[in-house]
This record gives sequence, structure tokens and C-alpha cells, in this order.
Amino acid sequence: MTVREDLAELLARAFWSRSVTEAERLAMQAEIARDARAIGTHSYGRDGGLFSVEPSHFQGLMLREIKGEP
Amino acid sequence: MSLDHPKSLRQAAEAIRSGVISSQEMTLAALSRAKASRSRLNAFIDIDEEYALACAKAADDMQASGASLGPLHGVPLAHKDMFDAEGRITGCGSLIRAGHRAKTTSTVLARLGTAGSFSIGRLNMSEFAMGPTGHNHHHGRALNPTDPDRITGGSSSGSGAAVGAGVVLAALGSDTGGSIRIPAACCGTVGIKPTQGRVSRYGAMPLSFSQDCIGPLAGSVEDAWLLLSLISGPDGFDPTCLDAPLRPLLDNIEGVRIGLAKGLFQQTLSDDVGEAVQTVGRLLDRDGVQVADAPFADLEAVTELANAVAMTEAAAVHFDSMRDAPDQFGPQVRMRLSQGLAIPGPLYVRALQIRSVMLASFLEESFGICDVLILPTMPFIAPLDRDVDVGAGSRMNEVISAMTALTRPFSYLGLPVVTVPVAASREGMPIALQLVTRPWREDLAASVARHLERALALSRFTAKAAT
Repeated sequence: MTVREDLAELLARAFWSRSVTEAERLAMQAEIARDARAIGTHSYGRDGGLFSVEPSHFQGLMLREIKGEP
Repeated sequence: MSLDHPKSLRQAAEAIRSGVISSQEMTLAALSRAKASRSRLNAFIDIDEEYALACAKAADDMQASGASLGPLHGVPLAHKDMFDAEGRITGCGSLIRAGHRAKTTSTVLARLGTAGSFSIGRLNMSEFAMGPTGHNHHHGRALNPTDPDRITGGSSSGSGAAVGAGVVLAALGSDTGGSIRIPAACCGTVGIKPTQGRVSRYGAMPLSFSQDCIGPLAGSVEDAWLLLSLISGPDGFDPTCLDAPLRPLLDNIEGVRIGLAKGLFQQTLSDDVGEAVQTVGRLLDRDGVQVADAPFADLEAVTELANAVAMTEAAAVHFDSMRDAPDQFGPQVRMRLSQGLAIPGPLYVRALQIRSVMLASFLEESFGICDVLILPTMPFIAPLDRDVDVGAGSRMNEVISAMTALTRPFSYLGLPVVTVPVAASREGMPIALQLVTRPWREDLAASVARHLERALALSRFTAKAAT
């Protein structure tokens, strides 16, 4: 996918009140492209698989393991 | 055992306790090694002789007074430059915090202090613990004790180099994606990345709240285990640190079911590393341990998921500095932190949602039929510096991904891992394996690691190589 070249500049202007360097711009564009591909389309999200999953379920699993529950 | 250079923490503590050597004598010897190693290893950002000798004198005075002594009484150590000690500098391997004087003492250093130990200096690290190669734009890289042309790995680069070379017996590091395990593997030491939440992070530099762990690097499993046992457990300051007492190590591992986790790595290993895995599998089988190929839960996109969580959280930690003083970061760290601004909130939360589902799946599928998973810590031996000194160049993500390919998944999943050297490559470099278990079962991984260590007689790998 192609990420707009000015997107990184817009983000940096909005949140850091400064311009990006060329290295930062390339890094941000590459990050967006990677995440769109790998996370945005992750198979766990299909058919509503993540609809009611809260991040805190992770801590719940860890706590359950302390108690040795299956 | 040399009187001033004992081979284990227990020997060191016993030598002081029995009066064979004073803490001051042992500390002078450690300081001498540290100073002598500076040009050879660059493991220390700062050596504090005056402070260390004052601590050693206090330890000797305390012993002379007949006071009760902790398990590490008078033993000098050194730790990664990221743990606060009240009134002293914690630089985080950075320029931005190079003069930061801590207002409180981190729980891990407080606990080691209660045990009687003290630090002789601050160990080198990747800037803000960001960088698996161990390069540091401000302080230079630490050098591998076995081959200085090769990297130590990072981010706990100085911890790996100092322990691997035998300058100190053990050191604390931190691990967010492999930062204990990679330098331990590159430098031939044991390393333990504990379960997420086992060790308090109070007073420790944050990188990624969801994945940061503090743990030991040491010359042997016993030493690493001793340090872990001393620093574990809730402290009332870090509410994410949970009460899950460590279980004792097993003397007999015959009942432990071992899974060789081939699914994650079979396409990526160098020949030497692949052979080491097979050798260890045969050794365990010979010793009557049940060894099987383990099914591996699908870890789709785990590297990107772990990175998205880490970089979003790191970008939050460093948000103000990235706005106000970006030039004070090294080029690679600045570039990586900028990535965090490009990760939308929903993607970050999605990565955390997926973590919950992936952990549940992993516990069921991979730990359904085995207790300990074994796989290499890295797919290859410590790389040559010239091959991975990529700074903020176009190969940065490729190098970081390759270095952390086998460590990041377990940071993302919060699982405990012990890394132990098991062989030497054709070049004489250490090859290390990871032993992964269910949450809170470090005892199982460490018990198998100790069994391997004894069977292979490879403890203190690089200390031998360096002497």
C-alpha cells in the first residue's frame, strides 16, 4: 500500500509542533504500511472475533495462572 | 576459587561471611577488573570507586559488629544504568537523562541492598533500552568478551559483557523484547526474563509498560535464580507486581515434559544453532526426559504486534522530549520513537486485544502437552558489528526483526523464559537456548536449564574463553 508522504508531517505538526526529518518520515510511513497489513487485517478480528475482547483479559489470564486454574 | 574472584554468588558471600576475605578486598578486586576492562569491553558507563568502597567498608563494619547478614552480604555487583538509587544518577544510557539524580531507590536495588549487595558502577545499555544490537550513540557499544568484533546484543549490553567476562558475578538487566536474553546469549551467560508482573518495576526506567520485565544475568542458573528470588514479589509501590511465590528448583526433571518448538523457527536457524537444538533434544531424551515436537499456536504477525505495543508506549514515555528536544536522541532511537506517533489508537488497542486471545490460545495449544518449550534464543550467533551497525538506515527494521525474532513473542505473551548457553559455534561463540514455561513457572524452566548446564558443563562460558 502507499502511504501519503505528508501524513507524517501532519502528525508531527499536530502533536509535536515541528517538522519531521526525512528518516522520521520514512519510519512513520513504513510503520503505517506494516501495521495496516499485519494488524489491521489480523485474522483474529474476522467474524467479530475481537468484538468483546478487552485488553485486561490478559491480566485476567495471568491471575488465573497464579491460582493454577486451567 | 580465587579468594578475590569467586566463581559464584554463594561462594562470594560465604567467603566474606567466613572471614576468608573482606568485602573491601573483594570490592577492590572487582573495581580493578572493571577499570582494566574499560578499553576491552566498554561495559561500564560509570565506575564509582568511592561509593563502592564506602559500601564495602560499611559491610565489613557491620559484620564485625555481629549483626545478622543478608545472603549477599558484602558482595559487589553492577547493574544496567536504569535503576534508580536515591541521590545517585540514573542515565538510562541516554544524553537526555545523563544527569538525572534519582529521588528514590528502585525496589530491585533496595532489595539487593537489603540482601547485602551494592553496585560498583552503572553498566552500558542501548539508549533507553531501545536496541537489540547494543549499540549506543552516546556511550559507544560494549564489546563482546569472546570476540570484540562481534556485538554483545542489547539492550542490557554492559550487563552481558561484564558478567560474560567475569568482571562481576551477576547483574540486573531489563527485557521488553529480548533485552536480557539476547545479550545473555551473545555473551554466554544465563539470563532470566521473568513472568510479566513477577518483579516490581518501581524506580526502574520504563520502555513499554505492557512488556517491561526486570531480571538477572549471571554466570550460572543458580546465581541467576538467587538474584531472581531476591528481587521478586510485590512491594506496595508497583500495583502491577503480583504475589506469586517462586517455587523451588527441581533436583530431578524426569517428570517434566519438554517440547521442541520447531514450528516457530525451523526455517531460520544457522547450521550451528540447529545442531545445538538437536543435540540438546537427544541429551534430554538420553536422560529420561520426555521430549517431543511441540505444536505451536499460530503467532500470526507477532513481531508487528509486539512492536506496535512497544513503540506506542515508548512514544508516550518520550512524548515531551520528542517534541521539545528530539536532537538529543540518537538517530536510531529517534527514528523508532517517531514510529509510535504513526500508530493509531485503535491499532494499539487491537494489538492488546489480540494479545489476550493469543495468550489463551498459546497456553492451551503449546502448553497442553508439554511443560517447557525449548527453542534457540537467537537464530544465529552474535553478529559481527559491521553487519548490524545500521543506525537509522534503511536496514534498521530488518536487523531489529532478525535479532528479536525468537524473543519478542514471549515478551508479548508475558511468559517467563530462561536462556542458557548450551554449545559453542565453529567460531567459538556461545549458542544459547530459551526455555519457556507457563506464567509463574520459572522454576520449571530454570530446573531444566540447570540440568543442561550440568550435563554440558558450559557454565561461565565466556569467562573461560576470556581467561
